[in-house]
Amino acid sequence: MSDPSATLLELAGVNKSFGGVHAVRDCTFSIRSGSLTGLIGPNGAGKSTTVDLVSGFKSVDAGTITFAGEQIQNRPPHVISRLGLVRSFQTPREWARLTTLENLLVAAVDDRRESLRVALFGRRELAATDATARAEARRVLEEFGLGKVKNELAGNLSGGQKRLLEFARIMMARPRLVFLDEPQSGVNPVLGDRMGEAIQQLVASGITVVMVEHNLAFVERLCDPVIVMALGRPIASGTMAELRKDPAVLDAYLGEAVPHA
Amino acid sequence: MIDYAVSTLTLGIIWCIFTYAVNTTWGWTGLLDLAPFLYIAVGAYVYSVIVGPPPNGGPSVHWILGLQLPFVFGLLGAIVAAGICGLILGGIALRRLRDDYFSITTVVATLTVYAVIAQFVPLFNGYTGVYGVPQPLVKELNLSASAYQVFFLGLCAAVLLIVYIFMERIFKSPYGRLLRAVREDETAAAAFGRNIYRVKLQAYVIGAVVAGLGGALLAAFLQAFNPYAWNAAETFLIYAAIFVGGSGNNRGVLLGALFISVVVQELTRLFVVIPGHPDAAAALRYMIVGVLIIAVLWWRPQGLIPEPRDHDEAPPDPAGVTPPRPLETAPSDV
Amino acid sequence: MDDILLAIGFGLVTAAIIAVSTVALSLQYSVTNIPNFAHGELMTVGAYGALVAQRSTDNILLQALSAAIVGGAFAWAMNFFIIQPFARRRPRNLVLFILTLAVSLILQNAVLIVFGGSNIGFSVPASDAQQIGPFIFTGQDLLIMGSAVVIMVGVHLLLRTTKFGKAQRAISDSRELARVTGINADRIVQLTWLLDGLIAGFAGFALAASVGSLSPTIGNSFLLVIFAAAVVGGIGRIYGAMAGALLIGLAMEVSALYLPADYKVAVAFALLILTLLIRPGGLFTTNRVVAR
Repeated sequence: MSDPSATLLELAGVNKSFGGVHAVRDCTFSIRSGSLTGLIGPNGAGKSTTVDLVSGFKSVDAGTITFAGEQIQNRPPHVISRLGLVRSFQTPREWARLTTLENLLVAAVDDRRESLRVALFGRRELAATDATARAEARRVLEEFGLGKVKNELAGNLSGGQKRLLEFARIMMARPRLVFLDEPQSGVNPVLGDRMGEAIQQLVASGITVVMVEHNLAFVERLCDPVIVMALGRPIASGTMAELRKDPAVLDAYLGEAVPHA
Repeated sequence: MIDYAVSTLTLGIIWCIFTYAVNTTWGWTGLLDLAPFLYIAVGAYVYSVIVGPPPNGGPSVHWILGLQLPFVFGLLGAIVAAGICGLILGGIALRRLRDDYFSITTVVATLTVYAVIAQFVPLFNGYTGVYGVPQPLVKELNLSASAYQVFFLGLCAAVLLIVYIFMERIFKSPYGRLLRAVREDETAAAAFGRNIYRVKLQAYVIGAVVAGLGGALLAAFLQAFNPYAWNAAETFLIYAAIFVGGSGNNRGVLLGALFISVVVQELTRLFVVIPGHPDAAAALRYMIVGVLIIAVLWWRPQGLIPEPRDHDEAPPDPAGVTPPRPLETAPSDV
Repeated sequence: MDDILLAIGFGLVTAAIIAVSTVALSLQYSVTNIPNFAHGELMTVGAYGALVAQRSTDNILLQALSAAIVGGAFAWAMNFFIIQPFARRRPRNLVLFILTLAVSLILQNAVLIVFGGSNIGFSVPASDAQQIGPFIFTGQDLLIMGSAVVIMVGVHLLLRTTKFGKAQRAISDSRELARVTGINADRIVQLTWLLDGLIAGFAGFALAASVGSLSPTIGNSFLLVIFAAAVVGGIGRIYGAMAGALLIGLAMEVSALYLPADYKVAVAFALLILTLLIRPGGLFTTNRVVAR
């Protein structure tokens, strides 16, 4: 890893509106390399839109997004992903009629292995690389406790298992930075600890993580720093303890769950 | 009777090739392409004008080329022409579009090309079509008519075998896996670094190429091609074959295509004879196909032979498997 | 010059029929999110319904009414017996589209078996041609255009002023949200299919009257023009559908002055492709509809 305090991602004056409604306005923040950052805020604060903008699934109206020294705003999602910035979605988007193991195999980009020419004429070449990829996929599945269901269709997994599969796919893709969009949603709360562990596994393997989450206790346990967004822009950042005392944060959460809860 | 069986089977094999084309686009990639007969027709016409003679039947008979080349060139020309058409239409229709818009565009394109080919005589002689296309190797072999039919059946079967082998390789390869991932969730595929437009377009062109190849064989079989030999509605026969046999499964495709093209087609042709109603057999066949599609989708959506599932076995060598890594402890700053 | 005016006159009549049919398709499409490939067959059964009625009555109104009722009945049944049971299983949307393809196949060929495949003459009694402005219209043309206007205004009022219209728009925005707010989505969808069929059936009658004959493929051969008009106008945008129909109807008839009539289809296709390339959300929309 490079200098851990270095900035990996930087948003500067990012704006996005939908039909006159400003979802994200003048949004500026940065993410340190190696950190596990929480991104919180009341409903409609623009968190999910921010994830869509950073990952290229929505276009930016104005402003710049710099990732690892390269401007990535308005570039297509697959290009951003290949630069090493991957995202997850609020609902686990598993490839349902592929097996759990196949889901991991697809998660790792390898253009050579996936070319049509290799499929038709390169079977010997394929046998070698596919075996390596499969061994790696098995290892990652074991790591996330999915070894037993490796040959199960991903669509048949439980909600919690689908989330773990999501993390395993990210591990397999080996990005530099990952945006997790509400990794706890749709998961039995009993499994919260397991999810936390999985996210820390990602961090431990050198992946910088930004997590959008509603469960503040979960965020407090895992994240430092935490960025609070309201009305489309960050209003505060720091540790959860610091944020509790911040009047702007309390204002933003009025009428919703207060962070003490 | 044997002649009849041979020609029915030949046509059945050609239909298998059509069905493999659609299995690539719909079965694996999830593109509801309603233009397969466009590529079949392009393949058939291009084959006809490459292998066939120049037009000579009076001043009103026109078609392009008429090169009288060996049939291999006809097959190649058909493949290339169909592939280019697929690249153009797919390139437009797959661009930033919802999948239902894509389907609408492909069906509208097919009907438009049909109208233009049927009307624009200088291209492929309008409704009369291209005729007098010699059969592959017929002069060289110098067989009796029945024996030649058997040879042609073998030729089609050989082409089908090659297509089948290629399709098996695609299905079992990481490339096939990628196509299926795009079918299952293209947004997730994009999030994991795949250019889904490129993936879909490539699969679409493969489908067009295979359809064009099938079309070339159809023209070789018919020794002529005209607008009465194809229509957009036959696309549903192909889809019915895929649904019945098993979407995504190479063996299911064979089963379904033979079932629709031999059993359904021939039974209705043989047993439905209503005097003074020449269209009744065809109409009944299409109705049966319509009912069949609905029934299969309701009772057995995966088809008779479902898509095979990858089964991963760890290599027997225990040294090859690394033990699970112990969980890391939480970062100290939390 | 006279030719052009004549062509525009024809174009207006064609556009009126396209517009009526497109509005019905577009409305149904936006509420149910299913491109109904059997829409052409709803027109066909409507036209044959009018044909059967014609055997017992000369009253045009009754003929039109029976066309609408037959179309509506088939659309209602199609949703009730086929689409809805499948939709409850929440399949991929394309599966529902495929069902409409299958229904189209069944209906078209059922009509062929019952009525035969040949063209059957169909004419409605009409008054003499009249000159209106620069155009010459037959009474029948005027009737078609007049009823098109009535239907458009009716659909407009329905969407804007009634509870049913509001519910339709809510469902078209988000079926989940509509359900949460207490709208009986299944019932609204069922009624939408009925309305679609009523209008499509009438459009089939108007088409048969305008062409002067009918055949089992009369509706289906018109379908791609309707889809083109709907896409050009922007799916689910009623006024867009009207504008798209007008554009395509006029373009097709005027093009027939310079090209063989069978290329009319190609003109519609060219407009469709152009729309998809420039503004996939429809030419007449202010905000581009975001794909999905």
